[in-house]
Amino acid sequence: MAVIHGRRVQQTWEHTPEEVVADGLQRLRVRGSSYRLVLIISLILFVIGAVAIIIGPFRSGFGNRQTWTYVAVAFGYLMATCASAPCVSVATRLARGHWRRPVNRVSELWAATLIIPLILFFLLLGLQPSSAGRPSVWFGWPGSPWIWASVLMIALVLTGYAFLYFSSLPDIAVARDQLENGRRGWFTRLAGNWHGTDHQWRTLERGVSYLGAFYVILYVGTMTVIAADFILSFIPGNNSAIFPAYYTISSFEAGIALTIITAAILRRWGGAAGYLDLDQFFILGKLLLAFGLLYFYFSWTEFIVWWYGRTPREEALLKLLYFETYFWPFAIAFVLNFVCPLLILMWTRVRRSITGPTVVAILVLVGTLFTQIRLYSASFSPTNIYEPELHTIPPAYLPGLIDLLILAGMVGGAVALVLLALRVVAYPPIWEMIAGLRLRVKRRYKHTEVVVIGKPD
Amino acid sequence: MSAPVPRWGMVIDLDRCTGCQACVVACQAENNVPINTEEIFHQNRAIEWIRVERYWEGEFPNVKARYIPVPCMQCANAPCEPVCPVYATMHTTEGINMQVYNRCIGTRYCSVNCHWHVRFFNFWEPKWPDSLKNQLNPDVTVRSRGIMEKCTFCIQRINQAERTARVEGNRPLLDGEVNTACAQACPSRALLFGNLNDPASKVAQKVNTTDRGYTLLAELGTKPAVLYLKKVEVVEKA
Amino acid sequence: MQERPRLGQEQVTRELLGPLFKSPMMFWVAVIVLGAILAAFVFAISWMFYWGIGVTGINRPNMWAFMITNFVFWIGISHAGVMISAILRLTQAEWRRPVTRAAEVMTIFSLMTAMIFPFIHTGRPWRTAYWVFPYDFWRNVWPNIRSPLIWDPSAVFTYLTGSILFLYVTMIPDMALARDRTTGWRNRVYTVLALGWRGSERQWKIQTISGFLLAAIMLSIFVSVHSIVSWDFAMSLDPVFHSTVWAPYFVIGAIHSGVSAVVTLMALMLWLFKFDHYIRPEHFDAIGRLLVVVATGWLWFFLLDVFFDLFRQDTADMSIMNLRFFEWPYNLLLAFIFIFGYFIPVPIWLFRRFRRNIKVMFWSSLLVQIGMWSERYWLIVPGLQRKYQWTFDWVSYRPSPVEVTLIAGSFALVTFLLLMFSKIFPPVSVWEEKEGQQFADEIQVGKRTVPGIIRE
Repeated sequence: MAVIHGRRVQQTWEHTPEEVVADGLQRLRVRGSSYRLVLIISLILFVIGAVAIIIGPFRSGFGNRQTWTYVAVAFGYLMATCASAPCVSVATRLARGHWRRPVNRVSELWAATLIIPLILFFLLLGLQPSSAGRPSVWFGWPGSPWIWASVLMIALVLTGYAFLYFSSLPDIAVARDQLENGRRGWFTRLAGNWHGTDHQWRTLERGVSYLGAFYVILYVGTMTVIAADFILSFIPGNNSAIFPAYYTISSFEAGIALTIITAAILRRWGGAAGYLDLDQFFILGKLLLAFGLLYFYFSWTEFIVWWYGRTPREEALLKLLYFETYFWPFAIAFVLNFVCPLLILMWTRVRRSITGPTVVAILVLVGTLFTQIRLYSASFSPTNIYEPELHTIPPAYLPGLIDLLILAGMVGGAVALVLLALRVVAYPPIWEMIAGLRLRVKRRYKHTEVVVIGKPD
Repeated sequence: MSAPVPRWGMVIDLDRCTGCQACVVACQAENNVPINTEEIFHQNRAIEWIRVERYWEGEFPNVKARYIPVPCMQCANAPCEPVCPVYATMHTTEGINMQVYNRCIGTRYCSVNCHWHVRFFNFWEPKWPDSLKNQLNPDVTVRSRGIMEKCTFCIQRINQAERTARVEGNRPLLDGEVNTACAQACPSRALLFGNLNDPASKVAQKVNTTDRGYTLLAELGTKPAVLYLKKVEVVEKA
Repeated sequence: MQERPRLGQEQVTRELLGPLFKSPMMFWVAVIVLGAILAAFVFAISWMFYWGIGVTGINRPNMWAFMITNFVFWIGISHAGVMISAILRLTQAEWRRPVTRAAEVMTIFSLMTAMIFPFIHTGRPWRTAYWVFPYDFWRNVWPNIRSPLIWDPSAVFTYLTGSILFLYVTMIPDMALARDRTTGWRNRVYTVLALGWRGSERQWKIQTISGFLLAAIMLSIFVSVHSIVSWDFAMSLDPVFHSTVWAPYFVIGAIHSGVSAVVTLMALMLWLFKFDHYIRPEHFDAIGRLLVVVATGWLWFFLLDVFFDLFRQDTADMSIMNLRFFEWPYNLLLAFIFIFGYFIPVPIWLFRRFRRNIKVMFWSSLLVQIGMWSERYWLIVPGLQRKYQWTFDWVSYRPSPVEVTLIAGSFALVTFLLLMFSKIFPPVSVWEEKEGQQFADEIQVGKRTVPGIIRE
């Protein structure tokens, strides 16, 4: 690694375009044995999880909401992590920095897993009673809550896959043109007639940015609806308007954490050390810190308003969600999602490292899991959702073996899908990297050498 | 021997209330409340420490008038108290939600956070006609403009009685020794005032025995010290 | 592609310090008009002090109304300064350069103006003056720290102090510049303000670091200020006020109106001082893109607030929402909020052509101000009119001429102060512009020349 003026210089932009292409294609050709091992383990986990869903909640039917708690936790967790990761890519694209180029693909990859939350969503939809006669954001629209939430969810998943496809289309075409004959099959079909004409590039760039923006809007909308339909309306008396925002913002935090972890794994085992380096981790760490603070801000505003209000309705909610029934999940999530990121990432030296942000990202993912457990356990246990406020606080729901298997299985399924996606989608992102290399020139400036970064309007 | 600290409370029997407004007038006279002229009333700035709200029920010709006298609820968990920046409103040990006129700077936050609308702001300097100036109660401060005021459960009378009791060998207060002006003036005895902590008092007995009791805006959980007894409906036999 | 002019150091100094020494005709017209409105403003305040709060339209239960709305509005505008300077400085966005100074100054003046309102709005302002700021501890009556009205002045004062420091730190090099080019009283003033700035490497380092640090600290204060302003309302138990979403909702609304106000200000500066070389269409383009995101976020929070007020179908909430949606004048205000706050400006900002058209940006940003003022009024005033089931006391509110004068006066005051500022201090940061000129470069990609910036 080159060192100039006592500072480590990042390798990311030292490649030539040819190296990037060769690197990307190499990953498509060769996969290690550990790759196969992890893939098989996660597939087995997924199968076990699916079986657990069938013998557990599915057999007990849709009448008993509480047995479905961990299906919902798995769903919420995947939505908070996998589905929010592509939003990170969109946000960084919008900010137009060049550091983002190697990161985008990392977060977009997770769009490949969206099918699992979609299936879980349809299972959970069976638990929804009609929205008539109970608090709901639908106000008795025909077909609510089932149709409208499904429309949003399906649109989200379709947009996610389209986003992933469009943003990797040029790379697929590269693979089609440059891979050996035996490996081309998939790529030929996927690449269509992409030949990189001027018109195609313009369409692609627009498509990626519009699809991305649309994905974020849909994601925020879907999370709002999920938070309202599956959490708020199942807890009597809970009309916390900030909750959907809190739910979404904490998911963004988890999405950033997932991106960091994936990047770290790709660095360590995926041979991407030359692309994902301190710059990327530094800025992602900053983002993670910012969202950790936002997590605190959003939970604090909910808490302080209830605390100050002191009405019996709010006291019951505080006891249920914060202080008594689900105190430990809340406390753990609070420490892992806010306190740890703040105390660890506030130091620039920690942020400017690979380990620092990665460790915090792992903590945040664990914290997010506890948040989901707290929320869905609390919302799936009240028996009478039609009363105006919570009169008796239901006891805490503790998971059994089947619940944990469901959770592990669905996460395993998501990992398997990402690993499978890596067979089609190249890492490093070839076209993004090359565009970044083109817009970067070294010049002499007085006594030193500087980098000039092009910023096209 | 010193008596247990009283907790002052009131029971308002709506079955007895005729809506005659005697309580309002009595309060006005006792507590130096400024005169509510027609103009001030139309500005919606009238000050009535106890007011009688009148609602119509039913369609003509079967219209019924409903009256409900509303003094300050003297909430045990008063929402008006924590929001005052200068501690001008605070809780006494006897459960009265008091207003310290000298501290008040008139942010009116307490009024915003009072859901019974029983906190009043002095929009103008109060004026009395010359003929009424000698009528002012010397035991009660005349409030200047720019500050809040509210029902005190006639705290000057409570203090007077407690002082007397202390002088007479620190004896406990007797039930009925203190009465508010409104309860005293009520011709139908709809208002009943007394010490809720004294199980022998009339008001405590009423509170403990009645099955008609309810508090206003109970869903806010502020624990009001005023209990309403709902009206007994006359059911005509067919 | 827009051509970016390359200017010499001396030209930048001359043009940007220009407004200090020569005033265009429009300047004097503006001063006279604003002065007249300000005279009315001072008269209205004195009138209110003399007669009391009775001269306003406030009644029971509408204890907070027009002036508090205006307070929230100006606090909102004040959020632009930090939003623009701190965030853009921390993210090293190049387009911040001509914007930061004006935005920071606007923060300070709108904060000062905002603070007038809760002060004159109290029943006994003379007591507020010596009991709340600063509190008289000698009486042993401590401020009630549970009260949002103590959080509020604390947050706002911290914000004001921080903003002034922040502005001052970023202004020191320019003060030295002005010191070296003036004589007489101005020279003496600038000499003091420049704090012996000589532009040594160490001085630059300290200046940069303190700028960054202040920016980072200000960001957290900036979020807290409007949250606390919203808690003035949300901490009360009033239906619709008592909503958990108000804090972030107010903050994002503040950013929406504040950044739009920066657009207005940029256009005005461009026209008044002829800063064509510095405030360019690409700056409006960038700020327009930012506004699309902010406005959409604001709309999301707006809808969250509305939906979850209706969510429980509680009668108390419903009666206020009914008032807000269907009754005059709130139905009209709601239309203003939607149309002016979002559905006219945002579609316009989606088009690059319009984002780069300064007239369009100017007028659309003014529309946002109308929409956002209506939003504050729509949020605050109806909330007190129908508290719970006391239909007997459901009273409407109408502002009195005194209050209207006060509102008009506040707009005049902020504009007037900004004009005065531009006479004494350079309204565009000179050193930042020069730094930007140094960093600006171009690179060749194929046949095209792309503007670029130098990075270490």
